[in-house]
Amino acid sequence: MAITESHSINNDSSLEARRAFAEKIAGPEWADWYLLTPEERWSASQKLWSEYLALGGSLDPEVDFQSPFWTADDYRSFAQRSIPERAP
Amino acid sequence: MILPPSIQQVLETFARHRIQALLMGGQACIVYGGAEFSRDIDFAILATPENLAALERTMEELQARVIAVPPFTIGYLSEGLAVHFRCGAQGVEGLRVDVMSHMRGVAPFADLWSRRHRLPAGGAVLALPDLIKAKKTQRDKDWPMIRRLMEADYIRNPHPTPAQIEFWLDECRTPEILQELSRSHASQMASHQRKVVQSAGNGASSSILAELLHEEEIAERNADITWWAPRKKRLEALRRNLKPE
Repeated sequence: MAITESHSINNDSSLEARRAFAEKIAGPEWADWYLLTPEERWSASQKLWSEYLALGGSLDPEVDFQSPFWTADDYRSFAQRSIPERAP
Repeated sequence: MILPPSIQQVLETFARHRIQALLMGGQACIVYGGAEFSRDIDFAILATPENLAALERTMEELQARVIAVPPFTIGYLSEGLAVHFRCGAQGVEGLRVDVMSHMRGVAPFADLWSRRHRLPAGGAVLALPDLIKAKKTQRDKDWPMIRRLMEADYIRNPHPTPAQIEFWLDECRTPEILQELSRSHASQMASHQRKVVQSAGNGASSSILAELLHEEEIAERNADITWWAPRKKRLEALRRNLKPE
């Protein structure tokens, strides 16, 4: 089973109605994202991933006190990480 | 030039070793319409000696080591704990890979595997209904994600099958969508097991539906906290045993 569109929404006459409803419930940016194909979303996400790392983003766990896996050691590790200095 | 750690490389390596593993977590959400920026890759895996041996070979190729408790054993995976790896091989340096084989409220792996979907980038991903169930955790951030995933599914399927409509009634968390569904499926909704769906079918306002959705969320989050309580104690005991006296 591949992830495919069960309907060719791009050829569907109700596309504009769907977009309008998506904008109503989630806003225009989310409407655009929802209407991408899985392939397009995956590709966009991988570009974001590259940019995040190029800007020095960390691969360490993010702060998440609600995660069952988050520990006091994680917090100490996070607190010890260097914070970029403010530009003069 | 430093190339970013490649999620693609991990997926290809998993596929080449023919591991029964299904992408889940934030990366899987992107496929289905969420937009979580996840710093790791999460997999549901089949916990059998053969599959874990294949996973071990894969992790060797990725030069991945276990970075926290529990150790990588079939026993801990079967208890519902996650095993955390960090990769060291060229192209995937620093990338974290988490594996689990048993999640609260989620079907056994054989069922998940039978319902899997192929990924655009290779490998396989949890089917959306299974991903939704896996996301029903105690964490704040998972609940807006469930809502987004269901909205995306609804928006992208203007001509739904009866099974898709049933899925939306089972999992939808957007009052406006429930109200829209009530215009064409009120009788089906009136006898639904979810109170919020019944209320939408009876014409309840958005604010009432939002309250009922919140009640559902609290109940699930409490169930998740209860499910994790003994497992968190287990992890704490394992951590204590690792620390020097």
